[in-house]
Amino acid sequence: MSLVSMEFLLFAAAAVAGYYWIPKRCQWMWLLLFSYIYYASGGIRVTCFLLFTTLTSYAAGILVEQAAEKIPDKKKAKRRGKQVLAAALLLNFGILGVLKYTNFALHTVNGLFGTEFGSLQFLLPLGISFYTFQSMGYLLDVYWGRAKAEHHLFRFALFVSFFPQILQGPIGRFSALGEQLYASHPFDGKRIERGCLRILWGYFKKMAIADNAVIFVDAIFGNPELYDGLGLMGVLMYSIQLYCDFSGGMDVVIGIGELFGIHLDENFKRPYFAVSITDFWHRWHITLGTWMKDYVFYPVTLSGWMKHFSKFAKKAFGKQTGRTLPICLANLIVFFVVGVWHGAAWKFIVYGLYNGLIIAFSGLMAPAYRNWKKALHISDKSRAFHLFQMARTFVLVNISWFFDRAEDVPTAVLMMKNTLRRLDFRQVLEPGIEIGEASGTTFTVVALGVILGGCLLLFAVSVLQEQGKDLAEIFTRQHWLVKAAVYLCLILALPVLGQPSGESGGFIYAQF
Amino acid sequence: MRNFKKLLLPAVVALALAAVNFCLNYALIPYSYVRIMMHQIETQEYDTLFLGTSHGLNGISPKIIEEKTGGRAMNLCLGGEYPKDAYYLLKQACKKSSPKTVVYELDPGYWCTPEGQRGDFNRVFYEMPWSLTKLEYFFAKEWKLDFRAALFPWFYYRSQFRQMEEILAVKRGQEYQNFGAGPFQNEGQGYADGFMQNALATGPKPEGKLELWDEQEKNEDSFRYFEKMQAFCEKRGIRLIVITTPVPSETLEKYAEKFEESDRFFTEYLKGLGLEYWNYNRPERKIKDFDYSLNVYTDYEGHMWAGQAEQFSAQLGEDMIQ
Repeated sequence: MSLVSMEFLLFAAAAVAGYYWIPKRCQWMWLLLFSYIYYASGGIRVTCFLLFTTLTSYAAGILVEQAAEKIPDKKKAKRRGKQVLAAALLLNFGILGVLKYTNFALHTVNGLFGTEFGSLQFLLPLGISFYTFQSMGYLLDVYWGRAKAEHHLFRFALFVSFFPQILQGPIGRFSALGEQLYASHPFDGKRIERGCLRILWGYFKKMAIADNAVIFVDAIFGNPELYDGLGLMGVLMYSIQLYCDFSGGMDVVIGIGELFGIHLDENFKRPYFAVSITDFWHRWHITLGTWMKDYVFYPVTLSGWMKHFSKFAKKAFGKQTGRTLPICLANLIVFFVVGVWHGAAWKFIVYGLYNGLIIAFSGLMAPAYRNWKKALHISDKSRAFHLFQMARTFVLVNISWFFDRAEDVPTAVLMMKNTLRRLDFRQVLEPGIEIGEASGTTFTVVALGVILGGCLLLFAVSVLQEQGKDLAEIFTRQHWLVKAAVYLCLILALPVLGQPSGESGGFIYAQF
Repeated sequence: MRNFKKLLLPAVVALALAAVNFCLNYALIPYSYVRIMMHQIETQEYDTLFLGTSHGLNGISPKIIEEKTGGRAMNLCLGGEYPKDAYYLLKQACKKSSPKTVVYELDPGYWCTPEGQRGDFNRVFYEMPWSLTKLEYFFAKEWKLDFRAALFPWFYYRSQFRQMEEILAVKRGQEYQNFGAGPFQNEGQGYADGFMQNALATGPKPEGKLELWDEQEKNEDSFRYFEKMQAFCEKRGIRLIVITTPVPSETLEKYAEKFEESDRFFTEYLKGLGLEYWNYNRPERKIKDFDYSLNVYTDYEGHMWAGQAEQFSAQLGEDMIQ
């Protein structure tokens, strides 16, 4: 059920209406019912995978907790807990791995050894990456004693399947989300208003900005040789498309959560204002970043073998570098996993490693940077330096988008080369090779104007948010006529400025 | 008073939206022959109904069929009409008519491609009078699509704002009030005698992107709704005939394998359903003295010009009465 379909709109409206109509103690059951209807609308067979993850992580959570509480011998208890945890992780990540990465592995083997393994047809449950990460995060929290195991199966099932977030996140934490899901929520007009505004803003970003940018992105990335002078435009458009598509989807999801009185974690915090790649990942897909930090980075950094490596590095390279190297290595591992998470292709692994390498390099070079800044009398508080950092990060991020969007790594490299060598914006207007000829879409000045106008509006909103202003709160305090005008403008902007969102419903991250 | 205030905002937004929608629907959605079709099936009874795609719309003259069969005929084929659309059009038509025969024009491309959001189907939904069938059609089709298609019917016509004056002039004219076809006449084509008549086009013909049969890409919905259509006809004692219109010999030669594959598949499939399949591209169905060369077609896809359509319809009528 696509977030832009009529079906979803009416489904969500029915869910919200019923939620406040039924007795409050039944609200969570209502959400569970609707979550399963939502998921089952994609097929009964895929629902079995969701049920499997729910049952295994539920049972494993209880077993891990029981091991810690009931086995008196601490060592034995730890071993037992570890065994259960390992089995659950293996099963769930195993399913994810087999369904998502088998064909990639087979193609790689074919490429390396000249074998001829054919592709296998697998059912890929929607949102499998998101719900697997969310439930495995819960399990690890229980194992580390950060959360208590949920003993009510149906309540736990709701945590895994909560319908607004299951397809494209945000990846929720049991400690923050669980209580909210099970609590009763009285009708709150202000919250509904905030939710509606957030949903409309999300649709605006998706339909008016991202769907216009996709015309250029598909044409340029789909025909890199034909549009060899437009690589820069292509990647800038992709930058706009990806942000507006993903963060727009998140706004819709979080807005729907608000309608139920549930506050979902924010996934974006004006990422293009980031001053470094590390900062970027604190602002972009935040819940994935924190998941990786808590469940991959720290365990890797604190592991026994890493301690050995740290000792060795300190001896070999000195105290400073020796302390930094293990962190660099952990970052590389984290971003390798991030790359793999993004998709079953080498280009995604390169995309992840590129980010990891920059962060690792920045870490190693940090003392040198400090010295250079001192020598050049550059203050961290200077506005010009801040702008320079933002521009530098934006360029670095855009380089990574080439890997993310291009067909494969060689194409990404070719497009980057062309961007440097053959930059020629006139290709947009040259007769005979207008954008759209190859992609089946039509290049229009209107589309460019809408993107530009939309980005300016987005920029203004982002600047205000960056200054700490709660725009939704300001909105709810306005006169009802002003509110009506804002709602009308946003609603009408969707059909007036937007492009059709494609056959699949179009959200990029809904494919994960 | 407080409750009234709470309701004021959504009520004002909804009313304003309804008003804007009403005005833009009127000003942006051009007059279409679908309106004539809908009016005709609402007000008249027919013995033969034709359903199918743009090939049928351009290639079947109900007037010639009427001359041959003696009964009243109506062409309900449309560009972008999938079996799902055909099924609901048939249901709507059968509210007034009790047809004896339904001829479904099969274009294999519509059985192996996903349904688009554009084309005439949106007009079908828009022009269809409020009924249970319209509601069913909504849940079958609009339900899954981008919500703007259903909430803002003018969405797909928003780029026509430059023609607004023209659209309004047509809608205020007599032809529109009387369901006339005058506004659809232009140099290239015109809607007359119940079908879209193409002028004889000279010069190079566009090949475009031909949607050829691909069994791997079967659109299950097309099969499901065709079978629903068959069950509907069977229940009402309607004879259902399936045809494929002739395409240019150049196209047939170029994609011989695909056309043969499609013929084999659909012959077998329709035989399994106990239905007749008249594929006019098969050698035994070749029409005498019919010019199959690309010169007399509008394009490679096989949209006929009016003269050819009449010749083809005469043959189709003959075959129907035999």
